[in-house]
Amino acid sequence: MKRNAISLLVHPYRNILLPPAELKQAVDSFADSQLKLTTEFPNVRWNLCLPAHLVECMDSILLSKLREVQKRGNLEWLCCGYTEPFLSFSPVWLTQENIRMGVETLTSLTGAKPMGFAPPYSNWEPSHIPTLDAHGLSYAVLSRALFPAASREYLGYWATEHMGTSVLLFPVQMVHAESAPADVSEWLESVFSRGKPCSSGIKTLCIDYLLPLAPKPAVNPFDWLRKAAGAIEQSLLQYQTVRMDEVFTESTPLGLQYVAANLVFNREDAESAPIFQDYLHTFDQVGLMQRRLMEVAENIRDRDSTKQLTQATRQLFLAQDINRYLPARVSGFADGDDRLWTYRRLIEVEEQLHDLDDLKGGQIRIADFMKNGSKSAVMSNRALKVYIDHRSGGHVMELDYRPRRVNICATYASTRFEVPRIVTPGVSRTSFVDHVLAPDARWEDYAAGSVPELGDFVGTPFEYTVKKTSDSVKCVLVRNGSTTVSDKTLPLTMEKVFGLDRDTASLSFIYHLTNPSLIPLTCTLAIEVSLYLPGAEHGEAHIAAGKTTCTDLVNERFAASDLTRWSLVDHRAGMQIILSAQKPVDVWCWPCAGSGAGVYHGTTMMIVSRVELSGGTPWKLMGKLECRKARTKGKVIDAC
Amino acid sequence: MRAEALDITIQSRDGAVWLHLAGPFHAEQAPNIREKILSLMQDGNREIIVDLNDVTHVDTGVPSLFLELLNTMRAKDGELRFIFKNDAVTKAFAPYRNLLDIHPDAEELMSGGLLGALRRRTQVLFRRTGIRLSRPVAIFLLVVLCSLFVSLAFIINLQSRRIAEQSREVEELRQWRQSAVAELDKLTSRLKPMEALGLLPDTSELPRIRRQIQALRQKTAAATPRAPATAPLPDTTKPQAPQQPADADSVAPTPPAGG
Repeated sequence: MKRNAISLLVHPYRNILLPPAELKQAVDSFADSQLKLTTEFPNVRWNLCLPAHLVECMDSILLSKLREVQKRGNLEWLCCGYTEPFLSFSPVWLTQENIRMGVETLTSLTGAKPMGFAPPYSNWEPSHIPTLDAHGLSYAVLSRALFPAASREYLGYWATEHMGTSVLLFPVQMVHAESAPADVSEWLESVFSRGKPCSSGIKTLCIDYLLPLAPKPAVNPFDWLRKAAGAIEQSLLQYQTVRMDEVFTESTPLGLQYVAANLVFNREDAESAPIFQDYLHTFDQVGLMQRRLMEVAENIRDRDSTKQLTQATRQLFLAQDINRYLPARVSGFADGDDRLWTYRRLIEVEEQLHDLDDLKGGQIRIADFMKNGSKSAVMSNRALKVYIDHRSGGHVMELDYRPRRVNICATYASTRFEVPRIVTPGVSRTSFVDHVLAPDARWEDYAAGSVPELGDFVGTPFEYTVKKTSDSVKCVLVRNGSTTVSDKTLPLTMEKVFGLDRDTASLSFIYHLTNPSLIPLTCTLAIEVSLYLPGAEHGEAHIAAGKTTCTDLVNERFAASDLTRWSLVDHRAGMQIILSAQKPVDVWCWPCAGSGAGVYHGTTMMIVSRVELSGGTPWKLMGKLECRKARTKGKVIDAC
Repeated sequence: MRAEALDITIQSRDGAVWLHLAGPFHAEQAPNIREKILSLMQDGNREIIVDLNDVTHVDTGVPSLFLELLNTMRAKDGELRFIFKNDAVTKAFAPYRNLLDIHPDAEELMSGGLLGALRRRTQVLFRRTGIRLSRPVAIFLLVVLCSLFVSLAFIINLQSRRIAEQSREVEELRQWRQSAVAELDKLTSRLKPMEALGLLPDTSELPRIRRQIQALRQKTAAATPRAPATAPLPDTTKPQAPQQPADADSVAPTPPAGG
């Protein structure tokens, strides 16, 4: 009787962000537990997949012990890249580099070149087959959920092909540490009994065992592995454990199988998500993060390779980590810390490029940042970077404070778009959104949604011009719009100017309203600014306006009148945002929709001013948003 | 969206404004680019560098746009330079190659050697001082300045040689004077006892000798102030000749040949 083969793939992953020291400790702890298992079960063969940057930070003694196990033929290393790249969302060259560096690093550290590729979340892209082939990766390990239903029951491996290049595909049974079957023997029996063999009659089952690097305190993810190894050893006449590469030498492929671009949203999910890109694009932040990543990656790709750029590319490998994108319980783009961590990596790289270019003063870029066919104006200097969408109300989409590497506008809109429209700010939270309201509008009414919008400046296109002097850059946005007064539509021209002066961390804004008609017009201009303060969730951020202070930004609302200067302080990010206006204004603040009960998505702030325009006369409001460093408190996650 | 297909980056580097264009450059985009460059000129920028290396396609009307902008820029005493080496742009700009200041890449533009650096520096100075010079006038002024410097150097050289000769002569005279004074002192000291004893009956020659000594002193004194300010300072380490009393009765030694 032929014995069935079981290939045990141990697959740790970074479930949450960890500071460097804790991460190293987690990796060492994992390696130590794995070594204990190999000692305990000397006849069991193991497969191990770990991102190369985690192998880099592993203790050298533990690593050398793993090498010894590998030399005995009881261990095979698989590669998933230098980090765990999001294949479908990243620029192709960056993913290629990530895989190349992953293979090289693993080869140098483990002493053997990996032959298998295990994409995180089984994120499969057929277009990457030539890359795998070029780097000597001859097979890929994918969740069975990605295969057609008719092929899922086969216990063997397939071949796949893309434009003349082929690799082998190994469908795996995903098992998560927290949801692993309690009775291993019974489970194995059921899987093998319903599984169909390959042409040689051998059934080969690959188990991809996912274990979080930072597990829950009460859970030991190695318990199940120990149990599984024990069960297999007890049934030696039925099962034998094999390394992945042994499978290919002992059996033939089941056939040619085309697997389209796909992934599994939850790692152990039994179903795949073939239209996952659409799903992700129904949120705004993930799309913006991806566009930022692509922008920075394109900038690096076009340059000659230097040592500094190698460092920058490594930062990008971390920024393309799939764990920071896919929404999960404790990670993903919906999590503020994860979002800011990705932005931090990108801002760091941008800073390096800015230094390399030796740029003086501000620069302005008009480019299709959103990849939607319309231009965005991106103004930057050494301290700030501002993204302006002139097509949709002249809003500020992103605002980076570079000295603290924070995206101040990284708010999260929990509301989903009905269709994937991340390129328009329908439900996204942007800043400098201009509302024209009734003259007697009150903030309680506005927050309750009972104040009608009288103007047509929200989400409508503005004409733009850019200005550049040796010291400053400016973006002038103009719209000849209208407003409704007593059921009459009156023309109203709005000109807003955003400017960056030299290399200061100060964004100036000037509003010019002109009434071209002869009828006097009275209204309220409310400028909506959405900001994300990472310290708010931890009680380390507050708003200060004169003697009034609001410390609970997650739950409380705040309003103040006749202010010319007020500030938002965040001790977690170590920054202070000072807003000032040339004339007294009212300020209304409340948490963004979806915030509350310990969940913070951002702070909406309205800068409100009464406007009185007699025929032909202009009205002007000048202001400034200035960022400064503040004292840092609390834990800043800066995982390597 | 053909009118918005081009990506534009405007940044400042080394005192110039760099305009980097990327993507296909269709004729529909020409007004937009014209407006942007004219706006940059109005903002006081007088050195604009247009980087077209990432432009993938150029419509036929585009080079004429840049010629027009070049004329506008030159009328404002500014400079419009281009960076490109890709086929699409090179082909489109081929007929106007001699009219435009074209560089293959940014490095070549920045590293124009000593002359390039000088030219850039001059332009910066021109901008700062507001002085504008045409090339022939600048060359003429340069030639005149060089001639002046050469003449001055020649005169200084001639003067230096004369001063060196005179210094040498003064030094010789000083040495002779010192030896003569020493000799006179010696003779005077020998004669003094004989004079005291009245053994020198014939003193008719003494006034003549005194006159000779006086003349000798005057000559030496006259030669010393003639030394110019640039002459080497007298060696103070040498012992100075003692001052002779005006009525010293002494006999002058034989002056050196030619003295």
